[in-house]
Amino acid sequence: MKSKVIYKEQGHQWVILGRDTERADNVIDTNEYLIINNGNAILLDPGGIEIFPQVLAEITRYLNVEEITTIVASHQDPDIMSSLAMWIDLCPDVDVYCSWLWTGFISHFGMGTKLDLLPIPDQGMEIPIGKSGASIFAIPAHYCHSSGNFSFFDPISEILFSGDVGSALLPNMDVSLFVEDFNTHIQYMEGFHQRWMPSSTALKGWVRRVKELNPSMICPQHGCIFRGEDVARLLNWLETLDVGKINQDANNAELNQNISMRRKKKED
Amino acid sequence: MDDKLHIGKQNTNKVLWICVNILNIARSLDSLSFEINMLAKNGSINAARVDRSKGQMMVPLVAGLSDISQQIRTEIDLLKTECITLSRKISLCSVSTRRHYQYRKSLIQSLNRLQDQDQNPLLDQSENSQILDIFTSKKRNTVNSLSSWLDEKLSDEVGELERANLEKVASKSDGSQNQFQVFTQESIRIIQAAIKRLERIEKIRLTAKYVASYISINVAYLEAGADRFHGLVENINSIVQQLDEQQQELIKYAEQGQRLLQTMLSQRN
Ligand SMILES: [Fe+2]
Ligand SMILES: [Fe+2]
Repeated sequence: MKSKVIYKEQGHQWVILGRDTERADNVIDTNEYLIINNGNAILLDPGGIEIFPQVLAEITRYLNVEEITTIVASHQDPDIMSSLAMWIDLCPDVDVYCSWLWTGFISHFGMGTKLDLLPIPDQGMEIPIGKSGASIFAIPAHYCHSSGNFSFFDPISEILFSGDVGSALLPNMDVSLFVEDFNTHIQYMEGFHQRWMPSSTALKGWVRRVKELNPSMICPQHGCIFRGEDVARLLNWLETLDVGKINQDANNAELNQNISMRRKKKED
Repeated sequence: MDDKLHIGKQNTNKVLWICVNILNIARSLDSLSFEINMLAKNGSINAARVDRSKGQMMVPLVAGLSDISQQIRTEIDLLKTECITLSRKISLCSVSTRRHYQYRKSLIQSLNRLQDQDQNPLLDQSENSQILDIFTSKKRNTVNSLSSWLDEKLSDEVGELERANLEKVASKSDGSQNQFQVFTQESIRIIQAAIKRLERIEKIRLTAKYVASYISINVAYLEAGADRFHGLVENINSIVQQLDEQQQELIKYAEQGQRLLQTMLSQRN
């Protein structure tokens, strides 16, 4: 697993962890992010249980693990949160935030530990970075992928962590951490958004909110980081993207035929 | 390492499967105890019908059957509770095994990285026996062996931050290993208690067998109504036979579970 500091100013730091070549090839590659502010840290989407050892091994380079005060989850998927019980075992006092919609669901990742999750209301909230005095903000991103979904904005670095929005399935792990050519990058994002995002209306709403924030970087959970001009390119591309598209009748005839055959067999 | 984890998972799954089997058999024993109770009730009615003086000796015998049914049910309920507790403990064994290997894997990756930074690695990462030596320390104190390893093997000083983190992860690795042992030992104690309970059920079964033969002997003295008790004796004997078969199955499973748990414990020592 690679890691890199993507922002560092006056005791405030963003680290990306990703491009994990040690994970099994059936496990989707993910980016985890760490915000460190004067001895307090937030881990954003800590990742799945399959990659916990790699993430932990990489994090030990940047901070004392006991300084992880907060964990936030953009949504409920296993690639986001299935390692949670390990992190709570390691840092028992950590505060874990996720959409109120998923607290009861994510608690199933407890592995014998009771998970006390802090619910984020639908309208979002301010989340403190431990006792540092700094905060990040949960920005609503509902139905941009998950029905209880958040992006997280850091007003110090002006970086937005966008979860699965802006994500890409990369062809290999040698691809740069940052988008190098937006137009070439579209091919890795398009299918992901069309199938994993259910609502164009929700996506347009998210784009509007994010344009108002005007972030310096957009950091997704899969793929490459957008910075500079690519931030606006991504937002404009998402704004016009038709998502949640699936042929509702595909294979229906074949399925119905098979069901009829089974029914007939039952009658015989 | 992954092989060990795989075998560990297989063993815990086998013990869970054994718990399920014991529970299922215990449920079927419930119905046998119910049948004994029904026989006791029918027997009482029949005893009341036969000649007053001759029927008198049958009354305590069939009443004994009712006690037997109650005793079996009590033991079966406790056995079921033990099975459920055992399943919980086994799940905790499985969780602590997973935790142990997660921490251990993380530690190995950190150490491999430190070694790569320090020198050109001569060994393939997964085969780095020098690193794995840390975990095979006889004292089973990964934190101590890790500290010596860091001092001996790496020429450059490892930063304080990294050392503190590695020691923390090593101590979590040891902690989860210790938890595994505690849960496995508790599981062994529960399965031993279950075996003792099965021995008690066996004694109750033998009592039922004795009651059946005693009724059979007394039937010979009855001048009328003996037929009513022949069927009762046959039924009791058939239940005793079924109890015996299921009892054998239960003991087989419980002993198998005990052996597996002891293997799990010895493999991790
Ligand atoms: Fe997701
Ligand atoms: Fe994802």
